[in-house]
Amino acid sequence: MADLALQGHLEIPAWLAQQHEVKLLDFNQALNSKSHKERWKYTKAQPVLDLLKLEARAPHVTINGRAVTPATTGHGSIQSPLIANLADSPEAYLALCNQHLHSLDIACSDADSALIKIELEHTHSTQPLMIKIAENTTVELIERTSTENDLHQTLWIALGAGSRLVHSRNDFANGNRWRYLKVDIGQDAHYNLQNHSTGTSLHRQDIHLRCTGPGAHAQISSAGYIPKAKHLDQQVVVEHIAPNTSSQQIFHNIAQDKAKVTFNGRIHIHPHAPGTVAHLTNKNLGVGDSATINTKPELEIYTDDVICSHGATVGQLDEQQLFYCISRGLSPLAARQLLSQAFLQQCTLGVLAEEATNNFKKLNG
Amino acid sequence: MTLLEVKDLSVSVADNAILKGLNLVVNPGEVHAIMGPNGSGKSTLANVLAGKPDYQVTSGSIWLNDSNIEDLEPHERAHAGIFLAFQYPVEVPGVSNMEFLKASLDCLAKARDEPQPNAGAFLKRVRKIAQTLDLNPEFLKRGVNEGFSGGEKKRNEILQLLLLEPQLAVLDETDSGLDIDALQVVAQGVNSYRNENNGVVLITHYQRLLEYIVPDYVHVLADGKIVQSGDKGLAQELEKKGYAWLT
Repeated sequence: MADLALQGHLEIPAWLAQQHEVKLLDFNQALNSKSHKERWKYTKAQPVLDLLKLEARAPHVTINGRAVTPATTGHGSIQSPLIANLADSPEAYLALCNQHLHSLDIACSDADSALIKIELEHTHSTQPLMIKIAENTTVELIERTSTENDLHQTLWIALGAGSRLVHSRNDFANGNRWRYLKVDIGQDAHYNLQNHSTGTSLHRQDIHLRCTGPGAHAQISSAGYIPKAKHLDQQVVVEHIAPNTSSQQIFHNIAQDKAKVTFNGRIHIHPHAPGTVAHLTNKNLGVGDSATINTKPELEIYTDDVICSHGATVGQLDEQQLFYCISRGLSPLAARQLLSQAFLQQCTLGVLAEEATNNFKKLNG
Repeated sequence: MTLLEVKDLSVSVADNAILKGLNLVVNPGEVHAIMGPNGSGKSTLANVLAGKPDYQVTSGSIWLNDSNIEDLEPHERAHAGIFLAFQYPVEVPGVSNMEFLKASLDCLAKARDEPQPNAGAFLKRVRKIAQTLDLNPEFLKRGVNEGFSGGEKKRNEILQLLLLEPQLAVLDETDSGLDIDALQVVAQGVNSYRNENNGVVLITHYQRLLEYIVPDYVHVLADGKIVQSGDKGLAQELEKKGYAWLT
């Protein structure tokens, strides 16, 4: 693989430079590190770096139905451990360098103790957004992508102690995609991602969750349908940093003829994080010939007293189930569609589930 | 008109001959019990009638309502009126029972050029049938057979039978794994299905089921052939003597 290199001059915003002394050389080293190459083994990184050059606009956000304008950080106000390690994702750092960073502080006031509903719609590439959710605040975040243009988008979320966030996101439009999501989950906070998407010519999702406080819980259910000759690459890291944290991840993907699907899911349990319970499942169905499916679930455990499991399957529709359906009068095609739909349905959850199901049915039809 | 006629049927699975010249005639309104020792070919007969792949008909023929059905795919056999109640009903997670039943009914109606059932009437009917089979209506919302006990799976098969109203029901060891109470419920379901226009091929190991579903004929299948036929008295005789005297 040829070395990656950022061309020209890199301007690092002052607020970021205050926290991290990074130079162009550091970026180029990170882009060519062994771990980076491993994460980009099945998808070329250069097209994503090129994608990042696209002009991005401020995030389009509503809170409880009202349009809001996230603050543009005066840079210096960001002191978040979210932005902690360049090597985690040099692409995300690049997005921060190239674009304005916007921030939203969400807190539950006495008068507004009910659920706070945030809607985030991407009609074009979106400048980085950081959402900080105060302690003991319950939030629903609904994220949709409605453009067929190529798009890059980064989202950073910090969950305060005892907070709850259910994050539903659908992405069924065409167009190349690079989407980055990083979430820090504080003490006794719960984060639940319901992710539904389709494949495009290039669709890369980087998801990085960190359970930073004791009792933190992370949950992901993700369903993907990758049509003929399309692509989806999901890179997921869940870190357990504090003791007694838990995570549950389930990813189901269907790859049609000549589609290419990559899943790399890593559970990383740090030292001093005993009592961790973490489970990861990735199931893939190939329908038609010549689909390519790469899956690698990983465990990295540096402490004792943990319960962990990880598993992946790649297969086709079950012949017994098919015969059962067909014996009841369904045509082979209808039976395949029903079983495919059922496979995705197991991971299609939340407020966007119906919309996702309809999109899956269209793709599956 | 004969409902089902199996003529000199020989069937192989992976080059192993299982059925070796089997003959059977079922007329409308009749219940035929097929009994026999393990490995005699009972389930093979059930699967071949339903058109399961991997079973190779090497000679003979199968006729339904005087039409040869050997070239029909399994769904086309269902459209023609054949229903197989599975010995081991499979679980289909992610598809609710209700959705599955509606999809089946709609496909059968479409194939027969009949109007698709009204959703309200369908729901009412399914719930009523579930009640007669002592199935909690909550089961209808769950995935097909998902997490069901053995008895619940068998009752669910009978629910499908009563809803889809096929012309020929092939029940493959529907009594296996059932306690006495569940056996009676299932038998009542099958008896309520019976009428002068349809027929039942009832595959079982034990005479016990035949106390509740009284057959018109009992056949003993051994080594791929029917070696003895009689009335319900034959089943009682088999209960006393076993199969050895016939094979």
